[in-house]
Amino acid sequence: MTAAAYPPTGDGASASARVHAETRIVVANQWQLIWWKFRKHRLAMLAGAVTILLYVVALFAEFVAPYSAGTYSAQHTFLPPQSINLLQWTEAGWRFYPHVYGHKVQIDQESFKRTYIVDETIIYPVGLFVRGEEYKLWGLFTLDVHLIGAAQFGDPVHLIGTDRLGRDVLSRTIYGTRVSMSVGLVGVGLSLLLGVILGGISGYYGGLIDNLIQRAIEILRSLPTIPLWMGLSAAIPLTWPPVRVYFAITVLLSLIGWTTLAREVRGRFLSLKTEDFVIAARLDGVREMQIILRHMVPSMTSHIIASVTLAIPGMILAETALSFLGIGLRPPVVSWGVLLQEAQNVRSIATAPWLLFPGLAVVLAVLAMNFLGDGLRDAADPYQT
Amino acid sequence: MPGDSSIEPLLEVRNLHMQFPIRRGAFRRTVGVVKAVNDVSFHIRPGETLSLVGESGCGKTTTGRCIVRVYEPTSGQILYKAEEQERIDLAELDNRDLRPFRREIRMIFQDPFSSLNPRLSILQVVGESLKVNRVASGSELEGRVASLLKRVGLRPEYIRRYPHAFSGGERQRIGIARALALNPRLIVADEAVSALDVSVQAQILNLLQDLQEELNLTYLFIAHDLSVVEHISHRVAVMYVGKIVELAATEDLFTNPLHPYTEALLSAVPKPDPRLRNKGVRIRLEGEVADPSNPPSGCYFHPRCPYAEERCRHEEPAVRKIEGDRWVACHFAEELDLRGFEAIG
Amino acid sequence: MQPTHTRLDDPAKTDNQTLLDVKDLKTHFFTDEGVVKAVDGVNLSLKRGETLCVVGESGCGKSVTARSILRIVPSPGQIVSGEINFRQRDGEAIDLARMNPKGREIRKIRGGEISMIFQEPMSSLSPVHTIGSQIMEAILLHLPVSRQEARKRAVSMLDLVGIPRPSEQLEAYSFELSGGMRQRAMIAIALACEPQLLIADEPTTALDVTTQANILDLIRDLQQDSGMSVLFITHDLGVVAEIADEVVVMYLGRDVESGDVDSIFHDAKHPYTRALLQSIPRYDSRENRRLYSIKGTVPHPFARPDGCPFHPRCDDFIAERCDSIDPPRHKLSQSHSVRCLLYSAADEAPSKKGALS
Repeated sequence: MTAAAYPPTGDGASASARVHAETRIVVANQWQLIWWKFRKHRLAMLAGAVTILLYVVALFAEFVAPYSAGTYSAQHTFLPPQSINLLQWTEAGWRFYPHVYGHKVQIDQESFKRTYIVDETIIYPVGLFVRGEEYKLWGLFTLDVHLIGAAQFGDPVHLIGTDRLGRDVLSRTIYGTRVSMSVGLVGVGLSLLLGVILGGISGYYGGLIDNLIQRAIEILRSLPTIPLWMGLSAAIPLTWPPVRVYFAITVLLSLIGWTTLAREVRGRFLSLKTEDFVIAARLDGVREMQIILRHMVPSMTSHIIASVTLAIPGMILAETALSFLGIGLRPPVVSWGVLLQEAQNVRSIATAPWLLFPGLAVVLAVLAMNFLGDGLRDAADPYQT
Repeated sequence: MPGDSSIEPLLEVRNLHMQFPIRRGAFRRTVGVVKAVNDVSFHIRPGETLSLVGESGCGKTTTGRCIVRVYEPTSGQILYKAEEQERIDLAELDNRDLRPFRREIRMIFQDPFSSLNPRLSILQVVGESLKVNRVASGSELEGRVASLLKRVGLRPEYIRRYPHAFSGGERQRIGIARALALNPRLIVADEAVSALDVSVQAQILNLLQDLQEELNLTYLFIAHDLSVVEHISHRVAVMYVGKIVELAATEDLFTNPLHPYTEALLSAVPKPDPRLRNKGVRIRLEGEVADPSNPPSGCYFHPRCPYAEERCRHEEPAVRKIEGDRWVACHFAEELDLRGFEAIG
Repeated sequence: MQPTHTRLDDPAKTDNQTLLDVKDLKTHFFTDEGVVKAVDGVNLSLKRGETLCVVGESGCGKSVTARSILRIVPSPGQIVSGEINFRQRDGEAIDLARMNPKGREIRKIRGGEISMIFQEPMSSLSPVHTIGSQIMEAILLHLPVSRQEARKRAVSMLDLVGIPRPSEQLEAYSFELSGGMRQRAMIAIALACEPQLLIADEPTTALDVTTQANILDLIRDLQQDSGMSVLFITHDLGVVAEIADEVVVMYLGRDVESGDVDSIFHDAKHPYTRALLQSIPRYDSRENRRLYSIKGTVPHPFARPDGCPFHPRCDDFIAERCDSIDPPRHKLSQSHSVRCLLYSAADEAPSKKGALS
């Protein structure tokens, strides 16, 4: 069979659909073929949707989150998650009226422990596109509309509960998405840059320079990563502002991350260099730079995209791990790792298990990106039979 | 091997050597060399087809790739006679100086699948050389590519299609169109029909012959299939472990081989006629093809040669000229009475 | 080694002579894009001690036919209909097409009664086990012998297939052998349990011509000594002429013509067979430098033509017949049948001559 992928034709039996598909496929370029092949991978498609959703959330965190990351409330510390009730009973019958119940505080006379008891007489209506705290979206537009939140400004609505300072866990997790997901992107971006350049040089020129780069990669890869990261991040001055720490951490992560990509790129270059079509281009009189840009790089971009997608979850996990250990990002920066640090001790897990919610977000993000990467990798070479 | 014909050869290869280092270990030390091409000399006259035949690893492909300068030969001369120019040694030129000759000496590859970039359309693949050499662009380029496609028997409407839409035979036609783009004079066809089914192979062989007549092309035809070689070539060179063991006009070589290896090769070809089965004498070679990084002493073929004598073990036979335009590397070429195709068949 | 064309009128006796009888086999591949009818109604029959060559170009379904017999068709391929009748050693006939491809019964047949060798021995030999242990494994699986005896037998098998210093080579790994030697080792494994039928799927295609000649000789000699039957899959008509007793020519999943080797080469009837024979370069074609070539290309597996699958490329195409009527198998003689409408209308036999006559 000459073509590996055929565009799905719906019922797959009708002759006209088949003919249409064939005329479409003969002029399909690489990306169309990849897309057709990827589309058949259901799980990867779903994972792709989840990934996109996560990045949309990260982009519009201020709008999606009901509160800002720093909003606290001394009266509502360790408030448990409130579940949304969609319907309300009135004399006229059931009506659609999303709301949560309020809480009564009970203080144990012996241990002075605060416990919340659901009070069904207090009703806080919940709505979409509600007015709430003012925020500046991307530092540009001043808005006060939130995707979800208390219908009346000021009502304590905390769908996933609050932490020890009464801050909304859901909102903080949403803000954490921004930092955690972008650490992955920026880190992988840097790794990619280093990996493609060094791997490309290594693979294309070979010889001594290849030897040097390969040995350097081997040394870097033989270092145990966690202690290395710990050592290096301990060297980040405590006085640095959070933004600079954030960049320092991404640079740190990509320092190790590029090696895998460099190997991938080098391997591709080595095998492509001896491909007949590359030799043919040389014999056509195409110049070196053109051969690389027009023939070799397009032949591996899809593979690189796939391996980048597979590298991002590693970065997310690394950031989470570092921050969790207290050597990565530090408050007031909000990332999933920083949030999980709150849930570090047994007491808080016993009394406030909802603080582990950011962990769910990590699992979701990592799984989604892995499935997406797997799907992309399978679809990356549509010309294989 | 000097040309003794009155016509000046288009290409003359003199004492070509191509060695590949064998590297081992973490520091890639060179521990030996593979003598892929070992003192090969031949010439091709304009308009003729010279075939290089031999079994895998005999150096025929490497020889072809040296001529189109995919490889830089270790030593030796590749003298090319461009029109209205002195002969020039291609082996000495660097990439920049080679450019004008790359237009005249083209290559057709064996694998019709790997030799076309799957990410480029036919227009881009075939038109690439026209474009980079600034011969044509835009709609003129399209027109030229379309007429090239027509020339090789493909519909010009296919110009926007990608290689994956074509069968093996059609892809090989595209490869031929690419080779023809710049009005070449010499085409190195490296196993150009080996990967094709027999009916498609016939189409491509016919096409190559038509093109040769029409455009006065010269072919260096590299193949392992003797029936194909017999069909297409004017002269044939047989290679064994990096060396040419025999070179002769096709008719002579097939009816009256002078080298024992040629005889064995001819005998091994299955004849497509069951009535010839068990007729004639079968020559079956013992043992394995010699290792080109560690060839045997004397004649490389002596461990497998049914006629080998003491002398073959010590003394390496030189390529000698025998009667007219025949060359052979065997001490006993004159004494042996070897069987050709007909005698066996 | 000429075939013994015993014309047997007694059906019972004929039956006993027939080792393998494939009837109207259909193996289809159910892909996401549609159904590929790789094998679409193949008939072949193989007598004891004979060599049947299945010949055709790539994509004609010859390999899938072979794999269907052993029930090793890769997913998503399935035998849709047809019979694969095989006479076991004990004389009992069984239909392999109805067996569970993962069941115990078929596993007993594989290697024990039917063995297979492939084009690329490297991928069918294990790189982590020695040649010896692979042969011994095959022997111990099917024969009631001790390890000691199995080892002895392995050495004699290697000797039989012409591997020099067999007791040393027992310890060799597949990557230490050359292509020809690997193919010999694979034949040794395949023949270790004295199968009744050897299926050889393009076993010499990847080999050089001198090595190919040696392997063909070997298969022929082994067959003569053991009396096994060989089903030989190839695209090379030269090889067919060398070793076949009977030939089946396939095109697009169909057996278009079948017969004894001499009829096929000297009295070919089907236009496709004739075209194939005329398109091989041969010594006597030198005078006429142009080769015959079939027009067009093999159609895409999804776009199978109606009627005779060859009709769009056929020179003898009869309009409104070939493109609508599926030609039935027409018996020309006891040993020669063809699927072509030129001949089924038996009253007016066309005056076409065979390709070589």
